[in-house]
Amino acid sequence: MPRTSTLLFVSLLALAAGAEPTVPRDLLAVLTLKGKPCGSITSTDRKGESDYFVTCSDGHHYHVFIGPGDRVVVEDK
Amino acid sequence: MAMFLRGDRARAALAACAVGAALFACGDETPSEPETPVPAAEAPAQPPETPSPAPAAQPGPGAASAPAPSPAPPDAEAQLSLDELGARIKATPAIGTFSKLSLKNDIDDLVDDLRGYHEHGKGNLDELHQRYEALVLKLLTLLEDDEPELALALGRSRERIWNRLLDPVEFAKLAT
Repeated sequence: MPRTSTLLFVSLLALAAGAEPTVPRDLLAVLTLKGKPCGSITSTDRKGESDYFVTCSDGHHYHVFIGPGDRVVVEDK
Repeated sequence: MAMFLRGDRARAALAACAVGAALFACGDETPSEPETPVPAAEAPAQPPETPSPAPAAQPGPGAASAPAPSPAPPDAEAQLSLDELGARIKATPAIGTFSKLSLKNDIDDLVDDLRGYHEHGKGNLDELHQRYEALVLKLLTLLEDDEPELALALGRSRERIWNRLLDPVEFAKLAT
């Protein structure tokens, strides 16, 4: 029974993980939502859980992270 | 990556829940759903649209059977309840973790300001409406590629949702 549950959990996790947008795509969407110019994302550097440095094709650099109060924060770097 | 998925999975669930709770809280109130005269009023408003395509198809009587199925999908979409709409947005993989959380932040801010409007008469209703429309547009943009049907349903429901947010009784049912 526990084995079945584990298999089900792993399968669901894999399915969900595969269905979600990629991190760069998600980060680009956030920059767009925040009205930040970017073009496309050329690289992302993960600094921690839900904490990324983003380099854009137009030369902009951003620090995107989840701050206090579970708010998405985008800082120009 | 695994850490991101694990940590953000929880955040995604939180954000998705909040997005649905905030934007579609009126629909989350199960009791309010059955007594929604608005959808009932809108439902009759939809059928008039369906007949119009049908006459347009009449010129070609031979093809009368082909246009018949096309009016059906709009009706089905129009019958989506707010509960269904909210649940589908919560579940959609088309919007990522950061995006859902960012939208949730915007929605929370808007709901807070709407609360100020309802309770203290603060704020400008036109400005609040513009912010609401901008939020819906953001959602539509995120959904249109991967969830076109959901985007369509949201587009059709946005006026109804706004009307419910404007209703002090419905708004009071929003979870804080």
